[in-house]
Amino acid sequence: MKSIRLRFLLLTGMILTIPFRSYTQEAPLEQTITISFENETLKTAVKRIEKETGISFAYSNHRDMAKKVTATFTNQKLSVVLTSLLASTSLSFKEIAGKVILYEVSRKEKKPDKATIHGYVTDSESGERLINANIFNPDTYIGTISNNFGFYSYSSQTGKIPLVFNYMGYQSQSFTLDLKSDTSLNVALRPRIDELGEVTVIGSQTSQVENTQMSMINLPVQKLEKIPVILGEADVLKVIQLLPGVQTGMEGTSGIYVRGGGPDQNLFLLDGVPVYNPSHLLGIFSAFNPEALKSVKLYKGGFPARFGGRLSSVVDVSMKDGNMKELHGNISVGIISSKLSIEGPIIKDKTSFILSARRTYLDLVAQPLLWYYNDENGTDNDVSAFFHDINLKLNYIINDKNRIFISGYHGKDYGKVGFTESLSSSEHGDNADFEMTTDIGLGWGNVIGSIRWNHLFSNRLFSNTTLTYSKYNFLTESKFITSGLFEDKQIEDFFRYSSGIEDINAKIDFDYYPVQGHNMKFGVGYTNHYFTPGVTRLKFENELAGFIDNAIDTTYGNREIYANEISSFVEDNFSIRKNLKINAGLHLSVFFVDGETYINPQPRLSLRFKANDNCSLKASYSRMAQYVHLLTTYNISMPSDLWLPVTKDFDPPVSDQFALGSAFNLPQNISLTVEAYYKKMKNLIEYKEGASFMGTATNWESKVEKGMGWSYGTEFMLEKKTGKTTGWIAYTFSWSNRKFENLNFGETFPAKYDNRHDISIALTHKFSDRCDIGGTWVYRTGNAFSLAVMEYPQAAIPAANNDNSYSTPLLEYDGRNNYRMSAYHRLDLGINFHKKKKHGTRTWSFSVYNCYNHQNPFIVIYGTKTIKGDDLTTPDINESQASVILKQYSLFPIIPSISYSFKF
Amino acid sequence: MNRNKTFILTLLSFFMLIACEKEIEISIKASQPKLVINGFVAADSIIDVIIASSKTVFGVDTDFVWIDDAVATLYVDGEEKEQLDTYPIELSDDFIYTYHGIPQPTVGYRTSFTKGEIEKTYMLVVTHPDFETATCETTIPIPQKIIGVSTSTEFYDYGAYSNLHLNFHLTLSDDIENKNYYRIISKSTDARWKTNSDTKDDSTGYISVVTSIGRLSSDDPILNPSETDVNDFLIESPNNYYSIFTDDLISDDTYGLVVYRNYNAWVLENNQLNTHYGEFYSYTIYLHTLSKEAYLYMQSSHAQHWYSDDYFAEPVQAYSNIENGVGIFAGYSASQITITDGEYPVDGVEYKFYQ
Repeated sequence: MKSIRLRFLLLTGMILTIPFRSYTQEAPLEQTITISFENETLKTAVKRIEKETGISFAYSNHRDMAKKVTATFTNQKLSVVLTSLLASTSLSFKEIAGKVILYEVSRKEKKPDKATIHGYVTDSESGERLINANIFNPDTYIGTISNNFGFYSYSSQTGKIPLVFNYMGYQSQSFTLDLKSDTSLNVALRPRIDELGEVTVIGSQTSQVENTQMSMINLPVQKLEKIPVILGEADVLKVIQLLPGVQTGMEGTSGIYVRGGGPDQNLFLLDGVPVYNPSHLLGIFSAFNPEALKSVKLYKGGFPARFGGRLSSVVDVSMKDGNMKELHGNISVGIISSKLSIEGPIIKDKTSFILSARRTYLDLVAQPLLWYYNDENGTDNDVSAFFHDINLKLNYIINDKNRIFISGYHGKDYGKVGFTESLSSSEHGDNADFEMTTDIGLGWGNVIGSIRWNHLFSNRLFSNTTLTYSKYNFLTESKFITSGLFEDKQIEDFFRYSSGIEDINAKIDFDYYPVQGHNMKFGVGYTNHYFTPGVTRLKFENELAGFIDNAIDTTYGNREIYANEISSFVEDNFSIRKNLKINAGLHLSVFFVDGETYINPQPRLSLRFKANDNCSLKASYSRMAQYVHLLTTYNISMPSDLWLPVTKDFDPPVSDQFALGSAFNLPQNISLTVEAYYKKMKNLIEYKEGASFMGTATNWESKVEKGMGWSYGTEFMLEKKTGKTTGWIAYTFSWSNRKFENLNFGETFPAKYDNRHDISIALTHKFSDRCDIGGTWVYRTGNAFSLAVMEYPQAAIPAANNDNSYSTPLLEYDGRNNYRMSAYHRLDLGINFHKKKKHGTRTWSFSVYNCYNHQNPFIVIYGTKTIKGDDLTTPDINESQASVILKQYSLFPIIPSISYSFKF
Repeated sequence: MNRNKTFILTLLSFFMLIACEKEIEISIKASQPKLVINGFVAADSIIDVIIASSKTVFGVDTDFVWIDDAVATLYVDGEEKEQLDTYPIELSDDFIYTYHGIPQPTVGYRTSFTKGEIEKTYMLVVTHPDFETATCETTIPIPQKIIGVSTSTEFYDYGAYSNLHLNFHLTLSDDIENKNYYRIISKSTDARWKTNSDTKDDSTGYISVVTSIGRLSSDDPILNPSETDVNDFLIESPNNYYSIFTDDLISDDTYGLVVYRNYNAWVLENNQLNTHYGEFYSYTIYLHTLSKEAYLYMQSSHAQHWYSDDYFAEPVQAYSNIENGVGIFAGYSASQITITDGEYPVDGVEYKFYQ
């Protein structure tokens, strides 16, 4: 506490160095009034105000007093009313001894009549810059928000300006600035700190009601670890799955399907760099280590023009910059993995770093057991599987106008199996004894790097220049060596398959604040894509003489593909009336591949009409285009999934999305958002029926069909961000359909994840500083799947081969995805016990996944069961019979987990 | 490559290892049996169909019900022609229409006088009191021709596994104005001298003529659209079981297609044709010009079987052109060309035919 007080004093001292004076109440001008003027002279208006308020005014017969005014004010402060009425005059006002004086502003006093306040909003304790902090005038509610680097710029009339700085989880700060000229104001907000040193989320006032942006959810990163997930691993994407409008793919995985879109329609950005495979361990864990994250935003619609490249969502993940003040860290040990995160200053208030690392260790734990087994049995088996990821970020403040960030990410999954089989002659006829050694490996991972340079051209123009590199690759190889068949000769059979995608990107973005109420963003970027969709190397060497001696060493596969993409955007967030705010923009992208050029202008528009302080209505339209397809295998995230560019036969998928919504502030700091959307997608691809292969690169166009899709629905989200109990209840009522000329015989069919009802409840409750709990419950309509319930004899094909396999009748499907699996529901609970130690705080976390052990459907297939005696449906059959039934397989039963973490 | 397939499937089975199996009651909307109509309509042949009832896939397996009391009325180019007669099914010796391996029907329906004609449209209306009236329609396409054929052989030396390709260099005609669907098949006839088993006398005997139909192999991309994908290392694409193809890759009014039959070189070498006794080989190559319905049915029905064991694949719907029913009613026409090595028939030689 002592240090907190000290920091507060320091902070206060810092703020005192800026010219300001405390915002004190001035009774007459603070008085609120409700009044309307309809084409009245200013003089008449003032008289009516005098009459309404009883406040005396003094003014001359200045010519501006004859100007006509028309305006309506509801419960507004007198200062706001006068500011508005006098805006187009040369008059100003001030209060002296309870009387309001209207006077002409002298030329000298008038200049400058406007000034700009700019600066950075930071965390007072860590120096971390705060994204999307609200900066606004509480009288007019005109304001701005800080950008992704904490920068803000606010233009205003000179004079006394009340300003509020507000950010979720932090104490608001209010000032009244006597603004005379352009001013730099860096504001350090104090986190709400509880005894455990944890951030307590207290809400960001009217953010949902105020924001022009709709269909966007800012994830409470601080809450991630309190929400229980499978195996106790805090996971960003699994929390995103609990949000309205987001459907989950296969159980336990991190796949997301947003507003009826596909798994490849989500753009995952880590510090602005695309991440192509955001999952580990076949999708069970996401690639984002929560220890390193500062903010996570999910955009489902109403996309700002700065985003492009995917149809359905943008997951914008920002890493922490690193603590500028002091060293902090966190060590966590779970049943699957351990994590370490450490951050701190290299040069205090100048340079900082953050390093986060995570690794699974099942392979390390199992290794001694494997050694023992090999020792006992004389074998040399080798089995290993793990993943790790590392995040590193450096942050260097050169001066007030320049700052550099260098960040990197490396994630890798790897698995291998190796063993030697000793095969005896008795097993292989007359052959001699021989050995066969098998080594199979499989690995995949992302490498990401970026360098950013923030530069402040002026107090209204902020730039961010970025160079990024992103690479995803997949590799599997196997080697089989047979030796001992003949003397020292051996046969070697080697196979390797690799695929990947590599991007190099350069872009420059600007934030420009031309006048009060306008926040413009514009930029241009270039990306070079390099696709390696699948290269196979085969090697076969046979040293045995007199047999098939056809050594092979060949590499074949798909050609490499280069593609270039240029994108630019411009957007402006502005008010045309006090209660009507607009974000309008255009994203223009050009894609060059194989001699083809695709140009896609993508207009974006968002409107917010604020009915009152507690309610706003919103509408948006956005067009999105996408230039890459993901050829997925089955319905799970496989590392062999291939990213491929659009081709001349498959135009870029394009979506048009309309959304209408409203946001309400309810009592108890509860917010309610309701949104309805309609999204139409064209140029979608789907595998042809029967296709479920891996590594499809060559000739892949012949295996997919193109068509269209549309989805629509309504989403509700009731959210509580303050108090001991926080969390949300989300409900989605939606449809998602597809129509392909050559699928389902051209008839419309539901998408696989067309879940009509989707409910998610995520709650946390803090009993005390030592104990808190979290729980989630999800329910959703079962996934659609194709099921045949009738069968019929196949026609005899003229001149066909004789083949007993064709004794199987044909199955009759009513249509694609014509049936539903049973509903999915699950309850997860977790509890955290904290204890403050000498050097930090330790936390024991216990969680239970699928508490009531509900067997949720993973796959439904035909099976048989034996029926006997009285169960027989056919009276004349006395023996046991196989009866065809449907069998459902479930993946995850009740799974408890435990983890330990220590924060310092 | 199959080892990689095994390995990756093992990874997939990670999920299955921890999976829980549960028998579930599935709520299925009432599915009434439908009429099944199966029949191909060929030029110069009577129209012959099988009518049956579809049945549920669940429960104890039961036989299909072959319907013998339906009323099947045939319309040709919109005009009612005749009502099909029922007849008891007897397995035909004609290779063109066999039922090997397919649930055996006991009754069929056929025309008494109407035969298929090229470019005519045939509509069949089937009524039965227990079913919705089912209708179907098809047109017999104009047959494209095998304009020419030549043969060659290629020897592939793999030691004991050496083999020989007997290549047929075909020149096919194609109607470039319209999309066409084809099927290429062959009938081989192997006629060998057999000693009379009763007399055991080498000088007396007969020629055993065995005919078989077969899928011709080819490396041509029009017959192997999916096999060019070398990266399908996990799950292979279905083979072209019925040897069907389209003219999508044919840009001229003729197309040269090489097909071959593969023989074990050792067997061939030790089994030389002895024309002295009247032995001969004969190959007949058929080019079927298929209606679109016939093509889609052959393609989709085979694909459905091929992928039936792949739990993760999207099931394949078999094509049907039967309104209010299921099955296929599809036209095709055929042209053929025959190549014979040896002489047939030879006077004084006794022939016995087998299939």
